[in-house]
Order: sequence, then C-alpha cells, then structure tokens
Amino acid sequence: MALFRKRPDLEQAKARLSQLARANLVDNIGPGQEVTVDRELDVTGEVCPYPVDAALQALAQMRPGQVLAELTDHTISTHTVPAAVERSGLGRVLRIEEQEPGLYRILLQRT
Amino acid sequence: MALSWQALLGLGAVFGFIYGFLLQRGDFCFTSAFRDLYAFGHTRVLRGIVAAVLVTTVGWGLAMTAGWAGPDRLWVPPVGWNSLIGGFLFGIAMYIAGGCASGTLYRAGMGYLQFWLTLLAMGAGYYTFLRLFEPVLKPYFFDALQLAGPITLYQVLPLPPLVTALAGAGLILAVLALLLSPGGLAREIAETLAFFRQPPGQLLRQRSWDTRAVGLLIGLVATIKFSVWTIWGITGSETRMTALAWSALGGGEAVRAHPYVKGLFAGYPGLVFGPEEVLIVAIIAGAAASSLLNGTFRWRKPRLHRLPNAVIGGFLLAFASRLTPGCNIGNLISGLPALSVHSMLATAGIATGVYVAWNVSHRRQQALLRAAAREAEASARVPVRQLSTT
Repeated sequence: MALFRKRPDLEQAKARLSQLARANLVDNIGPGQEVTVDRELDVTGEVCPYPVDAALQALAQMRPGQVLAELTDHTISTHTVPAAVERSGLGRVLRIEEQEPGLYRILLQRT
Repeated sequence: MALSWQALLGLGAVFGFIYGFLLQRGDFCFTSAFRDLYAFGHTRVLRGIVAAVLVTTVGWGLAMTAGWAGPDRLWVPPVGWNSLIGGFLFGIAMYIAGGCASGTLYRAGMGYLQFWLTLLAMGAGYYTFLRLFEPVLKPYFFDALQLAGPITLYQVLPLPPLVTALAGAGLILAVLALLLSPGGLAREIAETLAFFRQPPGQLLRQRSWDTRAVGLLIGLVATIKFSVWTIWGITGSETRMTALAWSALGGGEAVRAHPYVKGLFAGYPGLVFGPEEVLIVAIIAGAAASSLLNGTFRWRKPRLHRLPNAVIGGFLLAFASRLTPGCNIGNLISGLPALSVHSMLATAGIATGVYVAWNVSHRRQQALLRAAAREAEASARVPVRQLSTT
C-alpha cells in the first residue's frame, strides 16, 4: 500500500519524541556555555497570547546577535514562544531554563 | 445494568481525575490549538484534538455496534443559527479569557489564580443566562433561530454505527494524508505509538506529553466512559452548580420551577450535587496532582491589567456556551464523534470566533512589530560612539 511503502522509522520517531519530552528543558548551545543577556523581559503572570507578543516585539527592537531573556510562569509558553520566534524568522532559541517549579527563563537570540 | 447513584458519583471522581491529569500533561489548550494555527502555523495541540476526535469517533461507533451503549447516549442538540452564532461568541470568549472551558479547569488546578477568577465570572455568566432564558432568550433567540431538530449522521445514514464511524474517521484521515502527505501521516502515527514505549517512571516525571498521545488516551477514556456511563461535558454541569448556588443563596422555588433548570436536572433526584459535578471538581484535582508530580504547579498571580480578560472572557465563555449550546469539550470531543450537525456548526463557529479575535489583535501586533523594526533600523544608523554616551 502506497501509504506504508516507506516503513516508519521507529528509532527516529523515538529520538524526536525524547526531544519533545525535554520541551521545557531545551539547550541548543551546550551545557556550561555562558550567555550574555542584552535584555531581560519579565512576563510572569501573563497568559497567552501576551508572552508570545512580548517576545516578538522585544526581538524586533533588538540587533542581530543580541540575546533576550524572557521570564515566564506560563508553562505552555515554553512551546509557543519558541515556535512563534523561530517561525517569524526573528530569532532562535538558545536555552530554556527552569528557575523553579513552574517558572521558566527562555533565552532567545535575535537573528 | 443501571448503576447506583453512589457508583456514578465514584465514576465522576475517577473519570474527572483522569481527564484533568491528561489535559494538564498535554497542556491541552483548545484556544492555543486554533490561535497558534492562525498566528504562526503551530499545530501542537490541534493534532492532539484531531487524534482525540478520531479515536472517540471509532470507539463510540464500536461501542454502539457491540451493544455496550445505545445511540440515545449521544448528545445531539437541535440545529439552528444559534449553533453557529453561539460557537462564534464562544470562540471570541476563549481568545479574551486565554482559555476554554476545559483549559480554565486544568489551569485552575495548576495554580493559576487568574483562572479561578475566570471560573467565578463564568458563574455570573450562567446565572445571567438563567435569568434571561424564559423572558428573552427562549422566544427571541432559541425559538427564532432554530432550523431543525436534532440531526446526527448516525440517523441519516442507514449503516451499522461502526461503518458510519469508520467512514467519518476515514474521511478525516484522507484529508490529513492530503495535507501532510501519506508519509507525513505515517510518521505522525509512528511518533504517537513510540510515545508509549517510554518507561512509566519517565512518563510520570515528564512535564510535557506528546499531545497526539494525550488525544489518543482521551479518546480511549471517552469510549470507556460512553460505554459504562455517558458523554463528557463541562458547561452543562457548571450551569447546574450555578443553579445550586442560586438556590442556596435564596433562589428557592424560583430555581426549582425554572424550566431550563428542570431540564438540566432531569434524571437527578432533585436539585443536588451529582456525578457530573463531581467530575468537574475532579478535573481540577487531577490537574493539580499531575502538575505537582511533574513540577509545573505554582501559585501564579495575574497581572492586574489582565483581570478584565478573566472577568469579561469568563462571563462570555459561560453565556456563549449556553447560547450554542455546548463548549469546546461538548462540541468537539463529544459532539463531533456523535456526528452531530449542531456540533459541526458549533465547531465552525468556534474556529471562526478565534480567527476573528486573533485577526483583530494580530493587526495591532503587526503594526507594533513594523514600528519596532523601523525603530531598530533607525537606531542602527546612529553612530555607535553616540549610543555609548547615552
């Protein structure tokens, strides 16, 4: 059957899933790598869509290479902010740190 | 076999807890599903909803064919313009509140104080609806806008329920295969199945489950619930809870004689806190337990300037859920698998409502982004020496 001509690669699927499982603990630059933050943005207490809007707006005002650190306690933002920033072409995710339960710091670099 | 009232109360607690746990694990936000699709083509939650609808549809078709449940358990309201208009208003309310009926509950369990306020505002919305139902809404809204009685494709198509369900699910899969390509669809299925190969201990600690796997589990739970008890709803139960509060606060005879309240409590032994209300409380408890286990629980204080979102959004969520009738769970997770024409229209209304609300606020955001880009460009032209002295 055409649908299954190419067998699904379960190992690749598992690797992708394990990446998904670490969605709140992303590190794209390697552990121990120091990052100089150019702008801090505290959006704790805000829910969707404001953490996304704030990150996009702040990145748009920054220069290529500069780093934005967004502090949020809205858990789903650890999915939506990276997706919006990368799809907008404004930046890339360097790291998502968990400061304490339910509090995240998303490091974004303007591209 | 008819279950005792106590057994139903127990089932309400068990199913509610499981639903709350799953909603929290997937961060299964229906507002995010639609808004993020329009805003930046992000379909993380939407894929989970599609999985839930597919599994529930096939599960219920199987349950009705096997005789575990009769078609009388399906929730199929009459069809009218109110299905579309109510759904549209509900979509706008979801956008304003930043959460849907189920999202408000699971986030209340995660410690979001803003969504506890949304729940209170929803109570005001249900109460206002009940007060306006007989003098205004029934004659000038429901009766005026009704087009036909209840319609489900299960009645329209002369086929065994499982065949009809498989045809519906097959149609959705065919559309997905066209959108994603057959290979893409196969990869989605493989990734969903691979989720379950992870060790249980790891799964318990994970903060973020694959939404497609969560959708599949919700579909399985909804099938078991349908087979042993009933469909899953939220805002009907919350309206009952509001009627109980109104009665306790002095409503008395007016509440007992209210035609809408009478309909809501049909099958109940009076105006009492029943199994479906236990389910609502258990959703909050399940989400709290899940978030305590995976480290996402936190008492989150809202920003003061967002309180109008909770109050206005919550009020409108509740009011619109009664106008439609049904919320995102009633219409998407229970109504679509019932192949109910009302829920198809309501779903279209919800999707359109979120789109319009997003489009209005998106214009403002795009303008801000353009202004920000111009500002960044202008400051880049300023000599660096001058910048360092300011």
